[in-house]
Amino acid sequence: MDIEATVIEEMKPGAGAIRRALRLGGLFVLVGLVLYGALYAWSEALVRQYGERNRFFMVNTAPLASYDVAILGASHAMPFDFGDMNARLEKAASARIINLSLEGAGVLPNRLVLDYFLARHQTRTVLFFLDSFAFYSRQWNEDRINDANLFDRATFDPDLVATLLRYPWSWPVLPGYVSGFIKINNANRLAPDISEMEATKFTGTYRSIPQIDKERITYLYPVAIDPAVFAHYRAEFEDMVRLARAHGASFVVVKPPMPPRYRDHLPDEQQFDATMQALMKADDIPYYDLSASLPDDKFYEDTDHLNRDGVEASINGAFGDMLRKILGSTQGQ
Amino acid sequence: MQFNSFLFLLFFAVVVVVYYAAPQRWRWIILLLASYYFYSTFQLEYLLLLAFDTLVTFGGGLLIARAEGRRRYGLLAVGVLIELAVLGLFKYFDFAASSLVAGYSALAHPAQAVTVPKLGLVLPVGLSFYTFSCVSYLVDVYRRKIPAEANLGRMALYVAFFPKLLAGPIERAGPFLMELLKPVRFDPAVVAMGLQLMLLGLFKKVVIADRLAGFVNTGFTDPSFQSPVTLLVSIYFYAFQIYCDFSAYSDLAIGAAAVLGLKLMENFRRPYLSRNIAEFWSTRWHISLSLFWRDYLYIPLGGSRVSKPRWYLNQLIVFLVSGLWHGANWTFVMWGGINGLAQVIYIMAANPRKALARILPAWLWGTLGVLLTFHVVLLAWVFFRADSIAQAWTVLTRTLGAVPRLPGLMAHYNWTGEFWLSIGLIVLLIAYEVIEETRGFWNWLGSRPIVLRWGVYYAMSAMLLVFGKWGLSQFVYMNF
Repeated sequence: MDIEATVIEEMKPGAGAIRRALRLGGLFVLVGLVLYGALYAWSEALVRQYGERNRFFMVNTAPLASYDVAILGASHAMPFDFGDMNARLEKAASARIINLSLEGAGVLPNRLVLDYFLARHQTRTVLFFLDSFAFYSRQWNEDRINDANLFDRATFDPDLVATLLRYPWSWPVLPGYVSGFIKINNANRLAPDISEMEATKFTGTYRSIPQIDKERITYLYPVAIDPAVFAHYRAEFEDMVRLARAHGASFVVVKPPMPPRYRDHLPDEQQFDATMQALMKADDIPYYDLSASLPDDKFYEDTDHLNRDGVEASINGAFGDMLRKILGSTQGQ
Repeated sequence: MQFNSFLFLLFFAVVVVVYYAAPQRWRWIILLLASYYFYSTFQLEYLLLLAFDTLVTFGGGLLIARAEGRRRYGLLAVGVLIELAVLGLFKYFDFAASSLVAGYSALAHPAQAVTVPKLGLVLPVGLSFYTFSCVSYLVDVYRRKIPAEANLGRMALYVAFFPKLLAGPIERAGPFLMELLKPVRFDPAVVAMGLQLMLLGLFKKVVIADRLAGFVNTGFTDPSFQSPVTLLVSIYFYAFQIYCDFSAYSDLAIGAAAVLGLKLMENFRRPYLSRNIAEFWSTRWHISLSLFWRDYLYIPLGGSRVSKPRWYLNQLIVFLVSGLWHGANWTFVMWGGINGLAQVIYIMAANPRKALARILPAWLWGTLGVLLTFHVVLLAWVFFRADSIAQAWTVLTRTLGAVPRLPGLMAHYNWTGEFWLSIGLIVLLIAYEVIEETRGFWNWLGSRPIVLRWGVYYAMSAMLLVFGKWGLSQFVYMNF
């Protein structure tokens, strides 16, 4: 006879006690799930109450089925949506425009937003603000997707779940999004849904400090640019173009205005421009370089983002002209 | 894989299910595999170091057990030296090299710059803790307190048991190996107790410690440019941050072990309720480390059974070494020095203390003791947290120098909701500690109706979800 087994048998709590404990445990979990559901519903209600600029929220609640222009890009495109700028842009271009650009967004986050947008809406044109840093590292691509902040005001939507499922690089964020934990845990749940750039700096003017310009570039760009990484995100970019075209939208690329004190110090920028222009020529993508259109510091709220005066000057100047031109050329498509 | 992550909770749930589903004789193997997997998630190469230390300890233990006389002592010395050499290489080489160069340049040849190449090694997580587990095992075998473990697997599990691997408690081999031999049964009461501790640990870390960390980091980043009020908030909040952070790890470790039917030693016992510095160190703060120093350094040095000056020196040595163990930086030495000095002063002031205790009412004497002890510890924490002695000095002088102006300066402080939430949580923590000290919070809760008990668990869980700072930081003591 196995003595150890006998000893264990004698030491076991009664089967009844274990069954009772498991039943209680099950009930505890069940009540916990109900309470979690209540928390989820509360968070969802807060998102609907306070959500405003979050791009997934915007796509989910956008009133129109069809737009003339969907703007994509990183933070350089965002000022065109600050305050009443989008309404003024719509008026200047006589078009329905939705700005889906995201702070610190490389190619992959833009592609994700576009895919989700096209699952629910249509657009005649996708206007992509081109930034070289978006092509150089994971930080602004896979890692940015998995940043919970991106989804903390995203309402639950099966279309977004389906979109996230399509891209393996976005799977890590799925549990947090689907379970609602990102929303429940959002520390800014009661704060206005606008970026610091819009809330505090948009009407200001930047006084240039070379050291801060340098730090900004160091923050955005990797120490060394890896050609393989660049090639990888270029391929993703071309996939994004194909995605837009598959949904009947034309794809246009614009290089946003930037002050020369900043633009001239971007690493490998000329080579980037040459590579991208060759790619766009090959893929027949219209390209507008407005990077030198507003050189004066008075048009910038910080190192490299347009302030209110800068956006107004753009709308009334080169950017507005470009928009009218591309909308004219896509009429009837 | 951090304890304060959902990934760990998932990993732990899987381990628990497999562990209890497996036959008794396989369970330690499951724990060993889980522990090695857990450690490999930090850096695969670290496993080699863990395995090396385990083999040295296992082999050393067997050899010591068979040897006698000077050979026995020699084998112990070799074993301990190998363990400490590994720790020294990773933790202290660069610090020693730069200190020697600085000292040589300053004293011998001020004008002559000397360079010693640095290794630039990254300290593997948990190395300081499992090295001490290995050392304590070797010494205990040498002292014939425990027999040498003949099973390499069980030895490996003692060193690598995942709940305690990264930051203790520094468990002694004797009780732990005995625990492994006992049949483990699924005991709902013990499992529930373990889960309670894990919930408490998560709460302390994710809701309190990581919330306070934001304020503390602000104060200790460029303290010359911070307002004295910000610095004052940082100093006080750090005392609670480090306590919640470290005790949270211990709660999670002890709780996780309890769920698996194993017992780990208590590591914290409401330290900020200590009425004197001796009580703080001997029975309340990082108990497993204090006992380690007592048994393997203080007593071998002669402890208190020596002349008074030597006794004081022994106290200082223990605290200075303890400081250095925490990190290769003079700030930790200073931290140890302040605590050691406080301990010596406490011993020297035995007569005045007795006289005061007779004069003052017990409650007042006790309260003064708690406040004084807390502030001595608080002073030392400034050096513990600072990046350099100079930075700690800046924090202290700027704060103390502004004391007369504090009321006016406070008007300009940004009293955010986050600040008041932090204050509320600290008050809640203190209330919990006082209840736990006087009547045992969990025992008291256990005797309440199920609605109240579950209400507390759900409220804590909800706060974890709503207010928790998830995925932000690792545990502070994992850096040591």
